[in-house]
Amino acid sequence: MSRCSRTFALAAVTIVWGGLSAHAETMRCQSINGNLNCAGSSGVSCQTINGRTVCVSGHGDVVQSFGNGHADQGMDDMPPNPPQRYAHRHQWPDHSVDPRTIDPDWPNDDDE
Amino acid sequence: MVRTSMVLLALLAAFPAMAQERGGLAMRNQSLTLEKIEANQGCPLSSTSVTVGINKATAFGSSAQQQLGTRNGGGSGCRPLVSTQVVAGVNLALGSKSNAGQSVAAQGPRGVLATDVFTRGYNYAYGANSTANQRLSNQIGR
Repeated sequence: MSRCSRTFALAAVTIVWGGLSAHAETMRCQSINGNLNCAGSSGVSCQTINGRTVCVSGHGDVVQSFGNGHADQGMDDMPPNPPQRYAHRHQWPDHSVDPRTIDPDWPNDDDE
Repeated sequence: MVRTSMVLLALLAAFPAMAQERGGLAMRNQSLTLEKIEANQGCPLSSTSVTVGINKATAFGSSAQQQLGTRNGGGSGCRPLVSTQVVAGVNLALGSKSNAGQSVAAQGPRGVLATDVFTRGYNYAYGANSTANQRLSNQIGR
């Protein structure tokens, strides 16, 4: 192997290694009663379990939780959902019902 | 001496009997419980529902939304005595600027003696500037 090619290979390895290192990201996770909620370095995730909502930001600047989360009637005291529209793609398997008949806060497509 | 021994023997025999009577299921309202059991004749003793959703947005700027709902038992005038409900969801926003929204809901039958609920969720916003919103609801009928 010539000196030039060795230098080139070393440079390539350095560039690849540096690139991988630059893409290494951290995940910020929160687990409550076994329910896991994670966000990457620039992501945001919100999870509502029976009325208790927890939000996690990868930046670590926004971590909040609200709602007292009764296990039996969680929907009645559920705070407003995070600013997110649910719509357009439904997957109703057999033996299932429209969640809007269970969840009064379920966003309605007709509203849009 | 003989009298004392007899008293001790009587006490020893009585304690196990008390322990047996105090064991088992404690019922708050026995007549109501019996009514429910009698009303269940000809109906299934238990019902189980499992509602599981997996939702993922993988591509750059993509959006994936999922809604699932289950109403457990109570059909044709029959009510089970025991209800078991499982709600689980996996919601993944993997792509950059992707958005994943998932809502899984289940409602159990009314008038059951006991309900076991199990709720489990995994929610990940992995991609850069991605958002993941997950909502799980496991309701007991009343």
